[in-house]
Amino acid sequence: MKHAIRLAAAVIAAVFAVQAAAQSSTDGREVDLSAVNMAILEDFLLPAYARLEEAAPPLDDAAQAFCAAPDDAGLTSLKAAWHEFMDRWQVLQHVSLGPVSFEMRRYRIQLWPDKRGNVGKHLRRLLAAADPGDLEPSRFPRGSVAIQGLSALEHLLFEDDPAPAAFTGDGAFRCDVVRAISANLLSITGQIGVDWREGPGAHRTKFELASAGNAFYENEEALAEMLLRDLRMQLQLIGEYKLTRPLGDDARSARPRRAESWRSGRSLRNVRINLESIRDEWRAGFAPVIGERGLRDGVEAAFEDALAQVAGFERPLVNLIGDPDGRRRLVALNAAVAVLVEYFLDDVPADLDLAAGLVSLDGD
Amino acid sequence: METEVDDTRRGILRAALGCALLPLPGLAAATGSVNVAGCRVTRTGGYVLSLVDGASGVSRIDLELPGRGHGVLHHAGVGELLAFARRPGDFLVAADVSTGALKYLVQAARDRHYGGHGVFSGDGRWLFATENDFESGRGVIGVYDAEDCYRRVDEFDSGGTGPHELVRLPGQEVLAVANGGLRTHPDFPREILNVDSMRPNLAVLDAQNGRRLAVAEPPAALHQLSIRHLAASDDGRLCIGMQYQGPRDARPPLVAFSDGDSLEPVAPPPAVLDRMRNYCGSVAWLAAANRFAVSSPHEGLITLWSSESGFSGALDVRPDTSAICAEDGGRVLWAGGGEALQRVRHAGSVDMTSTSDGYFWDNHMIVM
Repeated sequence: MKHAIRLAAAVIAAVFAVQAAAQSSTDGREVDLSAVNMAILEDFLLPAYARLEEAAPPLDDAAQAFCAAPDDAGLTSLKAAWHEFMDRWQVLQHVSLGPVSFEMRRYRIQLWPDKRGNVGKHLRRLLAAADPGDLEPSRFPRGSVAIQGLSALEHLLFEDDPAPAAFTGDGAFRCDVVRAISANLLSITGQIGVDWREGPGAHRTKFELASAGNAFYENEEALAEMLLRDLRMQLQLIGEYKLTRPLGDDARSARPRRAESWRSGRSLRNVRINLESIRDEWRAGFAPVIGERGLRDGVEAAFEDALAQVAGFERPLVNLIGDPDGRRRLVALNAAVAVLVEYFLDDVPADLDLAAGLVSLDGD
Repeated sequence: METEVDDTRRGILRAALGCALLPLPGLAAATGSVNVAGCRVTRTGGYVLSLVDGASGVSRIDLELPGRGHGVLHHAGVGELLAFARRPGDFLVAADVSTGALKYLVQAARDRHYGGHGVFSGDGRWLFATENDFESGRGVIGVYDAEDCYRRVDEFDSGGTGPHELVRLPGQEVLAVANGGLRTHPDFPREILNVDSMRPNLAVLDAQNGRRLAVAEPPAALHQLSIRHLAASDDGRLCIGMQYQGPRDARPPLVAFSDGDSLEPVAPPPAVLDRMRNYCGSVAWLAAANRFAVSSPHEGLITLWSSESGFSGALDVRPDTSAICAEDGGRVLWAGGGEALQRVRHAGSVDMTSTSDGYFWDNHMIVM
């Protein structure tokens, strides 16, 4: 019992020390996290969302034009517009905070991973019912998340390589769905842009004023941790979901249809864009304030290695995972991504005196 | 389609088919020093269930998991160490403590995902796990037979939405369930689908039939205060650690005591509440100090609480420390954060730290 009393007494004393605890600093080095957050906002997030927003009208226009008179040229243009939008979305796929997190927008733009096959399931249901009411602008955005975005559009445009005729006659409703999705993406990306930029509640001000605390960010450190966590989680997603799961243990257990965007044959293009994007955000915000020069160089070298590897693939992932050479190179890419995971899980947060956020940011 | 088997999982399944026990060679039984167990994340992003020697940080078990684990549970009678998938995961794993081998891998029932925690009946026969019926959003407690390969034999209502941690009241077949109020779905990992309408509660259930004995809710104004973690004292007092899902600049109380019928929120001084960052990671009962410990990992803070006098102190540990557990009747507190295992003894501050290179402690741990 004596121990108990001593512990209790000591912890009562300890509270006075708690309040004096210092903010983020490493060996006395002050890291200006507000500057990190603002650089990421100005040099990465806002330009990337602007580029996404710009890609939505051409997609919508291409969908309208194709569906007005379905032909090969129109389908080719529509697919190209889809690819362009997807390119710009992959740059932002990892971002979990800000206006993209409102109203399930992130999932409405792209539901992936889709382990339970919901996109196909809900799309089949929608097409079977062929009820124009489901596509009403007042109803469609409130319906199933699975059919509102890029994954559903990919199903419609690429699965079984449909001819333009598949979108006419009995297939006309398919084109109505294509148009509804394109219009929906236009609407969502427009709302995201407005929410970032406009009005007294513009989300950019939440970044600017993070150090004072607001309804979204407790302080600049919390915001920096969230930004860093998104980078780390995207690297983990690439490793786990974009590479390991389709690869399987061996050629026999390879599962190409687990890959992202396998229908459009752009699984590795997504990975390349993701890696470039993570590198760009790192360079915009975190790299300049890293204290240890060797660490900064090491992270840069790891990006260079992973990007060089992903640039070397000349065939789609689905065609590579069955042959020994392709598998060997994909496994090597996966290992290069794991090196980056390690940096972003361990060395980078440690250098910046930020919590890696494993247990503190997502609520359990 | 609903129960797709991953490659990693298939590898594990090969080692744990049916009820068969396939011991791996190697690990000697742990003797002497204190062992702590918990789920960890590896440096390259893998997930393991670990049993670690407290003093040295050396692993006795690092069993690969099919996904990220969360709560752990020791079935001392039969030498099994259990880990539950983190919400919204779908596996439950039992390891053989003496060999470190995987003994059972249990797949979540159809349309159920695990909440992350479980507890045994007093005799160790039945396992109760928090689960979510994700199509309806109904919280359930799955009942598993520990003597029959953890076959799922029953389920009953958890009394709310999104059950997370549950405890059994000492000496009674009564469960106290933290129904966090958060609705989740495996298609949207980590997304909370009902932040605006959530209604958490603490439900007290008869473990033998699932009958609801009592329910306590926070006041309506605090409906975004998710009730997630709890611990019971030896005489059945409950201390609840909560997390706030509302605006980040609000400062609601995050700790409450309960007798089952009502919740009594208690607040520390504002400066301490600020540092708790609207989040509690785990709760432990320190019998010897007659205090509950609550971790708040963002800034590496552990607060101490008395059911009589409320807030009674705090101590600093390293950031990202959520996992805490008591040893030696509550004279010693272990805390896992990052790669560090920290011991708090007598002095009220960390007096010893061991590290495991490349292994990061997740939310919870237990002393074995």
